[in-house]
Amino acid sequence: MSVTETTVDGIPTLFARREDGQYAGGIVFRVGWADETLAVRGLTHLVEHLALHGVAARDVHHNGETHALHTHLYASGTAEQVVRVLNGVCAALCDLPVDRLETEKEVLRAEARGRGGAGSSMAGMRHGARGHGLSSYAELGLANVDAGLTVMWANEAFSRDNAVLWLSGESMPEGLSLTLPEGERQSLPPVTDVLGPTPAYYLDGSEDVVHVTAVVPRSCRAMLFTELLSRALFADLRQRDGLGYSASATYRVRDAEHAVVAVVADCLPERRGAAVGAVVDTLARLRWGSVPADELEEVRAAALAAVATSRTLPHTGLPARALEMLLGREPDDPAVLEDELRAVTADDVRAAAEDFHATALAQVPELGLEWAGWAAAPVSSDTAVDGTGYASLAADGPTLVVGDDGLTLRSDRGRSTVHFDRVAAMLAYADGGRSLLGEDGFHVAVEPTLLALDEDVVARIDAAVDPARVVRRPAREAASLPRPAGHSPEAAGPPAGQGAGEPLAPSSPLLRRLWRAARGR
Amino acid sequence: MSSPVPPPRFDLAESFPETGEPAARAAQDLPGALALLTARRPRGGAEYGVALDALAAADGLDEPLDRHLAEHPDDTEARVVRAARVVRRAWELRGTEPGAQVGAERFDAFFALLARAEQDLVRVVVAEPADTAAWGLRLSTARGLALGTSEAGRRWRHLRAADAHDVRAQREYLQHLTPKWGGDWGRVDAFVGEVTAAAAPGSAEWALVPYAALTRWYDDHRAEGTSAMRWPEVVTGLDAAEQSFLAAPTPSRYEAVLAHTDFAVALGLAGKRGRSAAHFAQLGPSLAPGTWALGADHRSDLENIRASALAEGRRR
Repeated sequence: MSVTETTVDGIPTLFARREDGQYAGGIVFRVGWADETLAVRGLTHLVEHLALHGVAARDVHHNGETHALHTHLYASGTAEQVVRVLNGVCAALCDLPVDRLETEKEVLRAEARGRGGAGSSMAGMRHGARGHGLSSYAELGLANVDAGLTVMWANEAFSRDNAVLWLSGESMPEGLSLTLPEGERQSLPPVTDVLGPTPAYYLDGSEDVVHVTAVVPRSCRAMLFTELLSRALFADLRQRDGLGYSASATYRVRDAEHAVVAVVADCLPERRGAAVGAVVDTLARLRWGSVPADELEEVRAAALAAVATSRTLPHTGLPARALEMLLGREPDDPAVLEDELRAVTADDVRAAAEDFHATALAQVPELGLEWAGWAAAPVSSDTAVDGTGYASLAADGPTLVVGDDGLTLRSDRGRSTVHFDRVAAMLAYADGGRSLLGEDGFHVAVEPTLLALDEDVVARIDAAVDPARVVRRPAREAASLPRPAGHSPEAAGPPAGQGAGEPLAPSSPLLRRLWRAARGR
Repeated sequence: MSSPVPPPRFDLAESFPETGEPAARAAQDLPGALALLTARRPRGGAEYGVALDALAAADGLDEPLDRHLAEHPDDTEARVVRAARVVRRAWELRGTEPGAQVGAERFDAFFALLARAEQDLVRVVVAEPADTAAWGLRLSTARGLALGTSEAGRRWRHLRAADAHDVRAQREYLQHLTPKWGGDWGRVDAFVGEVTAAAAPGSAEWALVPYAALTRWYDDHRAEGTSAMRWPEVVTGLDAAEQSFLAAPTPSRYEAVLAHTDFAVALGLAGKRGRSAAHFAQLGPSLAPGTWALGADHRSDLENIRASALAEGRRR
């Protein structure tokens, strides 16, 4: 059995026969939240929700998922049910039920509340408030999104030329009518880096968890390394040291060339330091310790079994293969994959551990990691603007400098600078407060209740910031406005990164059009 | 006319010349010296520890060790020696002043040296998880780097799993448990109780009782004279520990120096001059420098006890 490539209504299509009587199908689009800007963060997710709303069918298993680089809408059941969902999704994408817009925004807000944010600041620390870094940020752009923008995004990004369809069943199902607009395959958003030297760490005492991520070349050795690391973390932190409940590592494809390996280890509050130390030691064990032959063989056997499954049940790998097509990567040949897996040696695992170490970023609840030779990730801007200074209304609060090119907020603990031409988003509250998030992840809050501002300061800032980056917010209740005591720029903002590099141009033709459109509105 | 009292001999390698053999050989033959050191296993055992100290203090070994490790990166023995040298240099650089008197620059250099040692030590313990010498050094680096009692406890448990009776490591871990390093005296007492509950008669581990009492007195009460060393609960503890310590010969001559020094100083400060003198007499010229330093302003009194003990010994 194998996978057949064909075309349905102009959409590249993968079909795999299956003999269990079931049908399944999905459409994968090459658009995700990494294609958005912070000012419209949530737009893709909103389109996904609207696309599925119209086809709600309680008798069919169906769902939608929005990821960094792709959005996946899928269903399973009988041939008729799958066809009904896919046809409905495409019809909805062509004629979005925008009367549902505000309701779906509420649904998305509720979904976000339930999702939580453990470890979520890591991508922002690495990439800033753009591209892959946007996963660290709430869908705050939803407030900005109106029907026109949503329809335009759907037309541009959810086109047949930016999609791959996959289907599985006894035969190609009849009755598909997948009318999608013509378009173009979206280029990938640039991968930004605001982190500086790695391995790096930052402190976040808000949770009893150690997180470590690294960006590694996609490879069999990295996959087996991740499995061995996961086992080692569980064995060391939970079984041997009893430091916490869960400790594991996962391997997630990021794009055609790279994967993200992510470590998560929770701990008891009083064992934070030990958890940090144990994670350091376990990572070192994979770099320099012995790789037990039996463990390597076990994880290899599991990986080979997964390849064997994809051979005998090719439909199980269809969504991943559709994504690979959209990412521009040739599908893996199972025979080649098996050969590569069989060839991985203990030295290869150690080399993969070195790859991991070289780009690692850790979030630790205490201690930091300078003692282990890791660099402190930047938590203070490396640039400042010249301009007019505004004192804090509190005795020791941060002061604001407003320049022609940006803002700098200074406190005893450091400074945050946002340049006007690098604003990822500015929250503009009707009460006069402004919160500027730079593309490098730094944040400056301009609060009339905290600073002795001139009357025209806010107007000057508004005039300097690209309207496409402004998110309008209603006035906050008087009781929830910030007060001078106990406020600090670092405590208030989302993850901070380092101000570096060139201003990021809109990352794709799609976004360039979006910017132009937003400016014109 | 009586002969002068011999000056204290703090260097154990001087008292026990065989432990200085690896250091003596290292300049000419580093691999041979490392082999001699390895022969003094078990790692962390007293003789090994003394020999390692001597290598840590020897001149001119940094470059040879770097070269050796560049050629033999998996030589954990060489890595332990290099780390021990860096840890020693770090603490020498820091000095013994209170933290507030150590400038930021010196602290930065101190931390950088300890972090450098950590790089070698973590590599040793992942290759040889039962290397108690490396874990013992990691207790020292953890204290200097202020990694806190949680991480120190993890390191101690690793060490204990390999050797629960490592006297030097016990002392290092006890320091972590003091208020000065983030612990409290209740945890110190519990730890001393845990160690002595498993200690054999004659073991130097019994000296953890006077060592803890001296540490507490030094940290909290030395400005008040020696009265805190005479509190009934302190004296009762010293009495019982001394009795157990003297109940059998101490297996390690090197650890005996530590233990007798602890008892000599603690009992001296507690006003038990006769029993203090007996321990000084056992020590002869040898003294453990760390505990001797804890005698603080009372060292001249302790020197008198020591002098009389050694003079008495010579008259016999």
